[in-house]
Amino acid sequence: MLVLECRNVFKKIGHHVIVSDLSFSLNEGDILGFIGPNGAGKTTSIKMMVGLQSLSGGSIKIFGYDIRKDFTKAIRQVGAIVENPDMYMYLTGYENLKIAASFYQIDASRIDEVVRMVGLEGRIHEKVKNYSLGMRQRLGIAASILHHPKLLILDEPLNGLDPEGIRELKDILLRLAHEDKMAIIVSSHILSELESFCNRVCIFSRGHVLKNATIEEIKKITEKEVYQLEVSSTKLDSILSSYLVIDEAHIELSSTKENIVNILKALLLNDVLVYEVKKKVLGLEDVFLKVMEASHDF
Amino acid sequence: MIFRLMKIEVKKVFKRKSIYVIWGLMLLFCFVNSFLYFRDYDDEGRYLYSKEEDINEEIKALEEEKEKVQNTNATTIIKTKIELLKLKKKFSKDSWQYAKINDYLYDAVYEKNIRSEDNAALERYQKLLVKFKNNDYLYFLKQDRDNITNQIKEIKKEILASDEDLFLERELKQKEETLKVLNFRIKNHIREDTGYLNQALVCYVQAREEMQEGKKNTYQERIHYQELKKEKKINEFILKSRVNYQKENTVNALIFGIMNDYEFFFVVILLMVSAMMICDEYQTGTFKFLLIKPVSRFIIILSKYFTSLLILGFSVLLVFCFQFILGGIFFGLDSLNLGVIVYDYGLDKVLVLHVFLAFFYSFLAKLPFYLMIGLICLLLGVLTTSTVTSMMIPLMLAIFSPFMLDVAVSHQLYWMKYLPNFTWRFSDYLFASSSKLEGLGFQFSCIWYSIYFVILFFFLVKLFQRRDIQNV
Repeated sequence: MLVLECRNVFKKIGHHVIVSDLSFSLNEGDILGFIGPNGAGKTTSIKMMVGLQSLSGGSIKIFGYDIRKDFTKAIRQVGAIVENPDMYMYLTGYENLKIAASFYQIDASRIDEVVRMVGLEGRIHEKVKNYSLGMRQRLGIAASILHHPKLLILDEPLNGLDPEGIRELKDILLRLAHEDKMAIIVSSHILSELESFCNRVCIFSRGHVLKNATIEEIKKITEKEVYQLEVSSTKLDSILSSYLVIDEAHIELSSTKENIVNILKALLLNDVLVYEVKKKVLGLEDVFLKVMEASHDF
Repeated sequence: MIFRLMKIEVKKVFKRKSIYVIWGLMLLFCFVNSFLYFRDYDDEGRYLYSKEEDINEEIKALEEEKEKVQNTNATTIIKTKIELLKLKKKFSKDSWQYAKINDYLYDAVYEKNIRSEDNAALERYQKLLVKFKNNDYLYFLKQDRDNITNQIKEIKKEILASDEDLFLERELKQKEETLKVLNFRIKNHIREDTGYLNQALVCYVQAREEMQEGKKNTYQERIHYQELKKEKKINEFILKSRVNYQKENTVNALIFGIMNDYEFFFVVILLMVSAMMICDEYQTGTFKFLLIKPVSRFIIILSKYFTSLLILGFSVLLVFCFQFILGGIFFGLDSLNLGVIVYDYGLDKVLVLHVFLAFFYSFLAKLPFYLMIGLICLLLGVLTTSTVTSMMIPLMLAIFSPFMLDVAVSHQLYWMKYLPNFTWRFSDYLFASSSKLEGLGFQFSCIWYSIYFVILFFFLVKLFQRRDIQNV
């Protein structure tokens, strides 16, 4: 079922274009990663999705409700952390959750349940000002899933979490996506972490979406393209038109599976010994950098 | 939903330490205020520490002067003055004897001193002194009355003998007024002391005299005339009822004065809460927490506005209760049965109201002012997200409004009546009274206040609805 639909979303402040032509849709159970450097437009896009910033053009629909026209109906199904888990520091974690719960028909047992889920049982009655960033992230996540939203949007939720916390959060998100059929958007700079639990990614750069694809699609593309060779000499300009020298014995090049045989033949004919040929498995980070490079060239 | 949001906002306000600090200061002021009235005022409501004449210093100066003077008459005058001052020291500064010793005893003492051989003069002095010491003020008042009556007779004779003499006629009129007052004093046993009856009589006479001479040509003269009428009617009422309604050390006076005495605290609390609810949320980012909930922004801003007014109402109630309790402890609750007096300019009548009702009227009259400064504070908060700006501008407007009004009146800057901080002064029209500035009336204020309120409220809502939450 279609949960979120962004169509030609456009945001301009003065003459500066912040987000341009953002279009994608999200179904139940999808986990979409937003990737991009600072200022790429990820947070602005998220803010437009939850009504914190206005749209200069395009439309955002959540369960068919337009975020501008039917804000309350649209946002009722959304749980979100935007930028930071900004909670009331002078209140306890529990009081913050009670405030969040008061907007929905939520009883105390559900509050206890999410507190257990994020592992804050022992500290929930302490003031938030005494929490670490990681604890505040956990509390923010608890507050955002309290009302069983169908769309969960988390802006940099891994910030401040220790490896154990990251693993726990990944488990929670995977469970919410698979068991509760929750659609999730996660933005992060820790690209390698997104790779392990996102099934789709949107790569942002300077307000544009450079790539919007499933993880499998991206991996398929990259798996076909990049090969790593261990060679006797890396001075191959006369033989190869394009390659990357990694160190004095290794080069990297892009090629189709069919063409790699021809390349090997050419190297051997020119007395370059090839000791090892390895198809490189690219991570999300590599794809991101590659896409970014391409965008700069563009 | 709005009530649920207000409940959340109230909870948040009650969790802030700053609000308790300002409430604590306010209640401390409340206590100090009540205590000082208790300590510094007597049962008649007179201030105990008013500046006293330094009689000893005066005596010392006169004695030095006496040694320099050679003339017998001058020496006698100084001796008389010294004697009277020494006698004056024996009476309370609030007594009629203290105030009138020179008027009633000077001649007798002077006669006794200048004719030291004359027993008749001595006897006359001693007789007067006994009456003076025995608090026989009626004797002296009657003496005054007889003197004035004789003076009136003399003046009448002179008027008959002369042609139209405006000076004499004016003097006659003055003497007749004085006679009336003396007769009133004698009939109602009002001594010329610092008691409330004498004060009321003096004020009444003064107001009536000024009214007779007063002009009513310009707006300012008419306003002054209205104030004289009020003064006259109120003091007339006190004289007739013989109740000290204007006594300041009563629970009535403390409660009736709350809206004026604690205005600064109420303004600060209102602005602090309003700024806290808007600017803090913007600055700390918690607005994001609130704005992504299924509630419209209109309801959110409305709930914040109502909450700030609710906290103001609670603060007023807090002072009311505290002042009631403290007033009861320090002064007793008897004055509650008396009520408070107010002058209704429209009816030209003095009304006795229960203090709670009078307090409620004064609260209602001030409410438009608080509604407007709260609104301005929220608007500035949304516009600038700066706590200082959103608090200081309305605070300055509130503080300087009275001065600005005085400037407008003294320089006849009538255009200033259109300023929002002039139109919110509804307490100026309480009981049909008028503003000091010509053209600034109840209807005018109602119209312009409503226009300003609607415009500012519209701007606040639209601005809040459209305002983007900027990235950090």
